[in-house]
Amino acid sequence: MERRGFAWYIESNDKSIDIRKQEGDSLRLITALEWSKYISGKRKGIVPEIVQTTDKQDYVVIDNSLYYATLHLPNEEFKSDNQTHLLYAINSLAHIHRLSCEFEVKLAVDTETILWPRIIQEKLASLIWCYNRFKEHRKKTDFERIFLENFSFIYDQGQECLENMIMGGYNVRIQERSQILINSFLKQNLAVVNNELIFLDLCRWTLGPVIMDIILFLNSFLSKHKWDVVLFRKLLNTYEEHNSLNQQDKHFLLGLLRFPYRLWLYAYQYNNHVQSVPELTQKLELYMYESYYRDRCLDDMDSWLWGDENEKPNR
Amino acid sequence: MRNPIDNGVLELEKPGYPWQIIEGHGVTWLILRQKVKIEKKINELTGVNLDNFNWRVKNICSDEHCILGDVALTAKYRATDIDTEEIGFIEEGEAEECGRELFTKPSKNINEIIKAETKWGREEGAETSIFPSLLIDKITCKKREVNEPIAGECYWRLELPWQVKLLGSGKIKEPRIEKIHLGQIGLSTLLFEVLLKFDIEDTIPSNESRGLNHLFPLRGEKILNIEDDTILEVMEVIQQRGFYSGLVDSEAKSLTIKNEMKTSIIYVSSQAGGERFMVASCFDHEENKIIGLSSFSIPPIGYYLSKHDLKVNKIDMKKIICRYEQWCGMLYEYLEDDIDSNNSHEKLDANYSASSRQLEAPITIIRKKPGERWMKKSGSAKSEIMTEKLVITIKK
Repeated sequence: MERRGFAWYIESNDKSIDIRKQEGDSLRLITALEWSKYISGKRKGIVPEIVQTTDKQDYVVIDNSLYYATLHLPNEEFKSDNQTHLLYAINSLAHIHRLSCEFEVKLAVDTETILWPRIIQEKLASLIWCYNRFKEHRKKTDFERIFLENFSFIYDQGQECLENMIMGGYNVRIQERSQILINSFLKQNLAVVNNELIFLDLCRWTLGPVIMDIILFLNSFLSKHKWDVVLFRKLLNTYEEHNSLNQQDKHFLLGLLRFPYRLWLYAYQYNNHVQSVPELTQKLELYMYESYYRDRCLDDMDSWLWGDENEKPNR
Repeated sequence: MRNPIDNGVLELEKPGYPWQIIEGHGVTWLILRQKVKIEKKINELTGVNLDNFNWRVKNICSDEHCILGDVALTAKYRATDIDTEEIGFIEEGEAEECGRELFTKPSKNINEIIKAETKWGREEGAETSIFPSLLIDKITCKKREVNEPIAGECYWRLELPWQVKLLGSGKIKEPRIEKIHLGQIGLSTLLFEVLLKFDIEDTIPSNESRGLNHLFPLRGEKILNIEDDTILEVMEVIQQRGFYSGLVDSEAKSLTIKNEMKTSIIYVSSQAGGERFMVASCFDHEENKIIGLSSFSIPPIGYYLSKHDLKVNKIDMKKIICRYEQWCGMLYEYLEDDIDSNNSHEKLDANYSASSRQLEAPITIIRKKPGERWMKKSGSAKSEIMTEKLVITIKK
């Protein structure tokens, strides 16, 4: 047995398996395992195959921790700076979303309806509160200076996000089209096998519209590529080959991508002393450069929103 | 009169844009500030030149002057387009997932985003800045030579008009720029700061010719602590006094003068990344007792201060000690008309003591008893009307 990343690898004569540990909620694991089996039954190679115990159990409990096994396949490490790997990932994501639209989450899960315009407005209000508070400080830290310097740009991004939601005719129905989502794209849980990407860990699933997964995916990896609009279009086109998005989805997607979500998180961490000031300052500085690239990319994507696929990016 | 050493805690004043003025008697300090946001990312500050500084004086009256002028500076720096910036990924996805649940949870109120609204202390590392800062004495600040552009170097020229009021009589010294600061206070923002001083030469009380009286010294020592900043250099300490009131104790033959005092320190902060020319102040209540004089029967109509003499020593980065001496005088103006009830006119001179003045006050005529005048008809009683005037002498 050998520890590899977040799993233990065991090799035997006939097959190799990975054993993973899950803390906490057994109901969450049960749902994840059922979902994995459901997807595997329809399409191989995008989720891990569950290996049952000798007494036909999907998982075992040892000292209050849950363990389950999946079939190990020779794989290539997922690299976020590799555009091809990103295309594999969005391709697998589209298949999973399409196949999961009828998967029923049997166990009761707390799924409070998220009222997005209200959430966005609340978060914008808290950013304004931070702005006013930082302005009053006689002596400011570097974090506060960078925040204040860029606040008008940040606020404009938040306002554009709200406008997109309104223009898209956002209403609660987007939440009603909920289905199970992957909700995690940490690269240690991604592997490339035979020119396809496997999502190794489904236990962080949640319920919501598919747009939420796409947004998390793009926010996680596009900064590495300076929000290259050509790559952005390729990824969305690849997704739409297998799972189409309607106009409301597109407005919602562009709107939420524009909201300075990570800046809100850093402000929260700063006010609650979650991380040190120099660390957060460095992160904020890099995030501001990323915001510049993202803003330019999303401006170019307006044509995609209105359906003109042939229009070249504005540069 | 010497006050014992006392301590004061200085509170930082908010830096004012585009100017901040601190006025004392005989001295005025002016801080000019301007922020400039450029379209590139600043990498390095290479220098600042003083291109122009001129001034002229307008006298409002004998002890109030208006000085106005302008100052022009050019900042030199290196910058790059944001397009060339590498993002240098620190984390991949963790930040996005870390706060996802937090973000989508509706907040009950704004205060949920902070744990405590109390003033939190600066943690270690928060005081240092990643942004550069150039502090220059005027004497070393040169004029920019137009013919020396350097490749990759950018320039930003700023012109700042100003005007100040200077209180006090005497010869006005030449206004001077004490220091210039060029700093970076954001990814793309420059900060210009200019510190100017205006003062007068003489320390003679301005109203000596009007008969300033009862001069007494105000002397003391103060240890001043600053909490939210650290001091690199103290430029000046200024004391401003006002809201005077007097309380006479006639038995003790003393006069207690009460007033409010504001002590302000103008200093250069050691912390880069923001404003370097700072003002911090504290307020005190002052009482000075004057004894041994004969009388204070009429109040003074003004208190006048000489220019103060302050000696300041820095104890450490957060503490200074200052010893101050200043002369305060009371003014009694001549009273031109003083009409009492007997129509006698008297002039008071400047050394009025009123030690033996007599005052006369007539008593009103006593009313007759009802029917008294008719009771006296038989001759058994006289009709009497009190016509006498009784004088009461009041001695002091």
